Amino acid sequence: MKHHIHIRRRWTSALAMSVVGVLALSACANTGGGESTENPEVNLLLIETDASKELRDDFIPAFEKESGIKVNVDLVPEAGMDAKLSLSLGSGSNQYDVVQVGAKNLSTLVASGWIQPLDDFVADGEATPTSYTDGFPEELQNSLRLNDGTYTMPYQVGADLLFYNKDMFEAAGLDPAAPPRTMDEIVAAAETLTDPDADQAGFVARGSREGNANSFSWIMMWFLNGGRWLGADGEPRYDVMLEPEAIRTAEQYDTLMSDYAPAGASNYTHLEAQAAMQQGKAAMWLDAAQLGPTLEDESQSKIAGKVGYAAPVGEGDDYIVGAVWGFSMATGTAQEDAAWQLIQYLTSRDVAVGQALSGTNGSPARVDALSDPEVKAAYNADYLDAMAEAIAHANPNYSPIIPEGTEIRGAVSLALSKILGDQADVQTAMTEANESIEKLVK
Amino acid sequence: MSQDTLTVGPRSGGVPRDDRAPAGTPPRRGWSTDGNLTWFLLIGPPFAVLFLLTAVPLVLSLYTALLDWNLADPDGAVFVGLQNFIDLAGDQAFWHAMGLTAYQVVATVSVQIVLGLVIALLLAQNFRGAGFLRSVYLIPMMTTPVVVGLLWRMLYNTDSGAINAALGLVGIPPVDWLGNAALAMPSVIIADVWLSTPFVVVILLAGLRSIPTEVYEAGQVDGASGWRMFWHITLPLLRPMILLALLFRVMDAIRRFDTIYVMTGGGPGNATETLDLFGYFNAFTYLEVGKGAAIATVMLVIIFLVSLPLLRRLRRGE
Repeated sequence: MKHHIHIRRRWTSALAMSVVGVLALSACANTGGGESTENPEVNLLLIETDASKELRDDFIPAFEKESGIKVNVDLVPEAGMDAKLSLSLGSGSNQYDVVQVGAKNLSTLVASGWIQPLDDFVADGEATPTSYTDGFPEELQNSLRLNDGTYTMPYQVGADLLFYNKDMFEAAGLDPAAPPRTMDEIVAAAETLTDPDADQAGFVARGSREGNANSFSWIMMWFLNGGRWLGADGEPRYDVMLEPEAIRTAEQYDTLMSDYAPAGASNYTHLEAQAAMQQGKAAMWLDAAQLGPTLEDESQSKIAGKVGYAAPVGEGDDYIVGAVWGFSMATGTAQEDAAWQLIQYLTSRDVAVGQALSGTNGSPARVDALSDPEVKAAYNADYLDAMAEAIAHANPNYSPIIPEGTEIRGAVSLALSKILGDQADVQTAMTEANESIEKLVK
Repeated sequence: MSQDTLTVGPRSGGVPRDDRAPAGTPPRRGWSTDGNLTWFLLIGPPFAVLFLLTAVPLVLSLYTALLDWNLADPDGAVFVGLQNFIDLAGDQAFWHAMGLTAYQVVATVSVQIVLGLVIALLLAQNFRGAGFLRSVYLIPMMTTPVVVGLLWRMLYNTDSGAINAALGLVGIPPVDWLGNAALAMPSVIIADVWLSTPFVVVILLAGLRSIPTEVYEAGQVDGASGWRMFWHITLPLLRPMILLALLFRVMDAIRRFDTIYVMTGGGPGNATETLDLFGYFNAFTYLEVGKGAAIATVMLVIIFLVSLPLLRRLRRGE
């Protein structure tokens, strides 16, 4: 009997040691969050762009020096950002304290409770000077409010612009001073500008399904054609893929991307589309305004100095896709004060002016940065004019503002990808997309 | 030190056998526990870690498959029993993904086995530079699949890819390899053939080298031709190794994700959206983790069902 007890004790102690060992291992692995308030440490998740690399390499080190707050930066390509956000925030792991979010994700993140309201921080006069909040346009702040709360501080305002190669316009007999503005005009100009013998495409946009990229380009065109996520009664409606505007836009998207875009454009994200413009392979590019300044960078663009900018014109008043990006605070962060300091810094006037001047962020959300004399002098006047006109018609609700928003965008992306890949015709693909959306919202 | 005086394992506990058993006592069989604290201390932690990292997630995944759970509403999980599986059975996209997976697995693995056998037979010959070639041929196998995906994506690039450039030299216009629904799947299959055939070659080469030369000598004495020796000696003796390669490759091909994700992201449309990608999109893009877990469970069952007969044959020594 004694022998059995002896054995059991040994078993128990061995098991206990194993468990302690595992716990010790997991504890070692989980110390990255930095819960000490003496030396606060904040984990930041950014989308990989030239602007975010500049934040990581130039601006954040300066912030760390100034504030004494250590910032750990993770960069993730846009295509993987949705998955990264859901895995890191959804698991409740407190992996990140501050995350960069787009208006397209905002409703999902708020509905899930993954990010927290910032109103108390904004209202706190000690933590937040009024000069900080005054720098944002009021309409923009209002458009980003959800459930009566502010969940993100805007960093960048996207507005779609038509970028065009003036030399190609002249060569094709088009007037560079009178660029196409409506969708019909853009399609007609693309036909004129396409010259396969000269390896010249008339148009380029996003064609890839990755990260729902193609639906972003399609929504830009759909807004111009009068499409909105609204029913006839003005209430939100999402199963609108068989409405005339949606079908017409899908047909135009197919024509532009299959007949007038570079071969292989069905796999293009904004990076490949941008490269096609920079290399002088495409004559027109419809995309977000903040991507424009790189076309003027002589070190990477053959068309620097030859770029024209136009704000497209569409039906209604809010026909421009206002893709806003901002910074939000994760729910449950142990470093609220440090996280708020970092958010304020990333969306500050200094950073906005600095990045506008370096060309990495040509469309900051702060009006006080755009009105800065140095910024005004540094930018192409056509670009600033076109952007000002586009922002005046910007509509941030370009993605369905319900938790299923990403999935709805996914259904549209799948349909567009099928159309470009000759897997389905426009009517069939859009019918499938509409059926998928009906199931999602029922 | 002979094996009889000190062994580390459940039978001895690292203690010289002479110290704890009188001469002539038969060695204990199975899991005796006396004096084995050291053994349990050594084996306990890795076992606990393995248990936590495999069994627990597996059970959680199986349980998640029974929930209607969208991560966008983390507290809204509802137990729905087998409803996710019933929904999958009626989901056209699921069957499309199943069909694509079957097509991809059969095409990839059959080409790899045949090509791997041919290359192994060639590399088994003792010619000048054979050793060098064997080393070179292992390079794809040692490359990260994501890198292989990116590499092939560049090769297939419509505008500036090497493949279209080569075709252009003989007057063939650029082909949109990854953007055309009919060509995308064959294109990703070719990339995987390049990536994983060396694995088959390594296994079959080892098999070929283990065949005793006497068997061939006997065949020669009997006047067998090269083809007859291959058919009646090499192939039957290589069969266990072919089965082993088949087992590994089929399991790998069913859950192939990285190269396809990098090369096409499941597109164009859903022309390359195999079961793994279908599950990934549902779980991590659309946040339908219940449905995603159900798809993962179906994949697990498929891998199990496909591997079982192969494992049985292997065990029978075929």
